[in-house]
Amino acid sequence: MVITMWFRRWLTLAMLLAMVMPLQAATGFGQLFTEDDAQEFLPVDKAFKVEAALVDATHAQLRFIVAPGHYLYRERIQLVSPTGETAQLTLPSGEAKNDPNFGPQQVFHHDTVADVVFSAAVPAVLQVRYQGCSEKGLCYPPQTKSLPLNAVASPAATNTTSPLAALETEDEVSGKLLSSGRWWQIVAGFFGAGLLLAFTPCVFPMIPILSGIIVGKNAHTSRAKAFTLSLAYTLGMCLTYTLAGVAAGLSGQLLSNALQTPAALIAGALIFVALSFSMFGFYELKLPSVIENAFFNWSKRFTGGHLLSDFLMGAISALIISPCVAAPLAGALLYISQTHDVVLGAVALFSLSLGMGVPLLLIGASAGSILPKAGEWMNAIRRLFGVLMLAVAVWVVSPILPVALQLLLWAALCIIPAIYLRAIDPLPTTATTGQRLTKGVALMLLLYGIALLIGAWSGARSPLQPLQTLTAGRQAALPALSFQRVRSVQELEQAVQSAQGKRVMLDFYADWCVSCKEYEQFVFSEPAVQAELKQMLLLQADVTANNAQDAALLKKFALFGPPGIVFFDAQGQTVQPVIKGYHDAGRFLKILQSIGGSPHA
Amino acid sequence: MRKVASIVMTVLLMVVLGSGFRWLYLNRHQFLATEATLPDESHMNALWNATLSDQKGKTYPLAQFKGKPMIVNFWATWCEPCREEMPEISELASAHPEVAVLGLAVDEAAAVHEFVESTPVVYPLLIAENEGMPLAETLGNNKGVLPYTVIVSAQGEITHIFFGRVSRKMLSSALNL
Repeated sequence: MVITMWFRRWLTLAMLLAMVMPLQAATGFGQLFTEDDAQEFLPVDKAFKVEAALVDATHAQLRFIVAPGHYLYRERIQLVSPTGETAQLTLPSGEAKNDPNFGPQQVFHHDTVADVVFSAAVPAVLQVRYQGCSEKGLCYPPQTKSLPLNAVASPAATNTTSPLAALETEDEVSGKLLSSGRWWQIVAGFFGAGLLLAFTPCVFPMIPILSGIIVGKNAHTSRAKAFTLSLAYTLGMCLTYTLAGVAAGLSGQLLSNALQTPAALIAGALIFVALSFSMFGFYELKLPSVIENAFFNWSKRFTGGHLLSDFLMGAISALIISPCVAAPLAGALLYISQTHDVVLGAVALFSLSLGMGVPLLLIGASAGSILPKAGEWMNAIRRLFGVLMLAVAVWVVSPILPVALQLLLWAALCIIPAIYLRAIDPLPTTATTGQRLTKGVALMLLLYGIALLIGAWSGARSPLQPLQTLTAGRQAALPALSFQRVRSVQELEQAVQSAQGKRVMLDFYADWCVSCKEYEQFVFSEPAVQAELKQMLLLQADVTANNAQDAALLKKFALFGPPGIVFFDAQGQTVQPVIKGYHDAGRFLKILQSIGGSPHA
Repeated sequence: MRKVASIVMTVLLMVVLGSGFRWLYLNRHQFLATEATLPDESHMNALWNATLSDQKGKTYPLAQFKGKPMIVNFWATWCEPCREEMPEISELASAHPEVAVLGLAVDEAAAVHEFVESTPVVYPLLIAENEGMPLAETLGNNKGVLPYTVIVSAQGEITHIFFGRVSRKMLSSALNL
C-alpha cells in the first residue's frame, strides 16, 4: 500500500518533469524562426567570430568561431598585419569542398584554432582577414578585423597567466565556458555556478517558502514525501530559468537588461515586501482558493496533488528572485542570445537552476530531522527571514533610489527590529545570558540605525560609511566627473582625434541602466579613481533612446548594452579589456592601472 | 485574512504575468521573423548617382536606366551561390530585353574578366569592388550578404529585395513577367 502510494507520487513527479520536456519541442519551434527559415540570416559578426590570445612571447593563437551552417574558406584566412616576414600563420587542414569554379577548396565548418608565430617583436594588434559563406546559399564579403594582443610584460611572466585573466568578470567566464561547446563541461560548470548562487542572500526567501510548504501544509510528512515536495518545487524553479534560457536563445536580446529596468526592480521589491509581510504573519501566502481548489480537484485524480502547486510555487519564486540573480545570469544569457542556440541555452540554465536548488533539496531530504516542530522558535526565525526579505527588497531597489532615501530605509530596517528585540526595554535583574546577549546585539543594531539616520541627513554616500561626511569633512565630497557627450560613431572619432595624445575613456550610459548609476555613485565618485581619470578625456554615450546611432556605437565595441567602458590609448587605438558590466572601485582601479595608467598612488 | 491573501496573490500573479506579456509584446519583433523593410525612394539616389565601369573599362552612368524595370544583382566571383544563379538571370535578361539587368561585382576587375571568359552573361557586369557593399547596404542589405538582388520598378521604387540565391521564377514573379 505504502509502496504503491510512493510509486504514484513519483509518477506525478515524472509528469511534472514531462511538463519541462515540451521545452525541447519549443526549441525546435524556435529554430523554425531562427535557423531553418531561409529568410533569416545571421549578420556576418554572428556567423563568424575571431578572437586572438597571446600564448607566450613569440606565439599567439587565433580562434575562429563558426556558427552552425556556415563555413570559412581556409585559403582566404590571411594575416593583414604584421606582414609575411615577421609573422607566420599556420592553419589546420580543413574539410574538402568542391567548388565548380575554383576546384577543390578547403573550408572550416567548425571552430578552428590557428597559430601565429612571430619572428620579430610581438605587435600590439593583429589584423586578420577572412571570408566565408552560409550553407543557405549566400556569402559574406571579406572581413578584416583588428585584434589587440595583450603584450607579455617580461620573459619571466610567460609562465603565469596574464594579470588581466584574473580580472575576468563572472559573465566572461560563463560566456567562455559556453563557447567551448563541450556539453558535459557546460552542464557541470553551470551546476557549480548554481551551487555558488545558492549561497547568496537571493535564495534566502526560497528557504522559508519551501519549509513552509513542507512543514506547514503537511505537518506529519515523511522524509521521502518532503524530499519529493522540494524536488517538485526545485523543478518549478528550473522551469522558469530554462524558459529564460530559451527566451534568450530566441530573442537575441539581453534579458538581464530587461530585468534591470526600474519597473522590474520595483515589482521585484514589492514582491519581497509582500513575502516578508507573510513572514510576519499578517497573512498566509497561498494561491487564490479558486485556483487552488481547481488544481486540487484536478490533481486529486493523480494523488500527491500538492506536488503541482509546489511546482508552480517554485516557478513563481524563481521569477521573484530573478532581479536579484540577474547579474550572474547575464553572461550566460549574453552568449546564448549571441548564438541563437536555444538548446544550449536551455541546458545551461537548467543545470544552473538545478545547482541552485541543491540546498533546497537537502532541506527537503532532512525534513524529518533538521526542521524543528513548529513553535515560538519557528516564529522568531520566520520574522528574521521577514526582515532579511525586506533588506533584499531595499537592496534590489536601491540603484534607482537617491542615497538619502536608501539610508533612511536601511535605518528603519535596523531600528525597528532593534526595538522588537527589546533594545530599549530594561532587562529584569533575573535576565538569562541569552536575553543579555540579545539585548547587546539589539543595541548595536539600534546604534547603527541611528548612525544611518545621521548619515541620511548629513549627505553620506554609502550605507557602509554613514558617518563619512562627519569624519572626513565636507571637502571629501568630490564633484561628479564631467563627461563630454558623443552621439554617433563620427562624433566619437572626432573626439578621440581631438584628444591630442591624451588617453580617452568612453562610458556607455542609459537612464534605465542600473549598473551605470552604480558606476556614478560608487566608482566614479571614488577619489582614487578620479585621480586616475584626471589625465583622460572622458566621453559618454547616452544610449537611453537606443536609436540607430546608439546601436552603431554599441556594435562598434561588440557591446550589447550599457554598462560598457572602452579605453583608447594616446594613439587613439582601442585598448583591451573593454569593461562590460559592473566592477567595483577596486577592480576598476586595477584595470585602469593595468592598461598603462601611470602607476601612482 | 485568507481572503486578503488570495487577493494579494492574484494581484501579484497578474502583475508578474502581465509585465511578462507586455515585455514579450514590446519585443515581439525580436521573436518573429519580421518582413524585411524595403528601403524608400530617397535611398535610390545612391544608385542613380553612381557611375561604374565594366571589366573592360566601359563606363555606365546608372541614371541611364531610370524609367525601366530593373534587376540589380550584387555578386562576387568568390561567392558560389552568386555564380550559380547568374545563368538563370542571364536567361531572363535575354528573354526580356525591356528589363534592365545589372550585375554589380564586389570584386576585382581582373577576377571578373577571368570569370566572364568561362561563364558569359548577356547583361553588363559592373565593377564595384569598394562601393558595392555600402551601396547594397543603402539599398536594404542590412545583413551585408551576397548575393543580394534588388528589383526596381519603372517608377523608380524598390519593390522586392532578395537575400541569397534567387531563381528565374522568383525574379519573373517579382517583375510580373
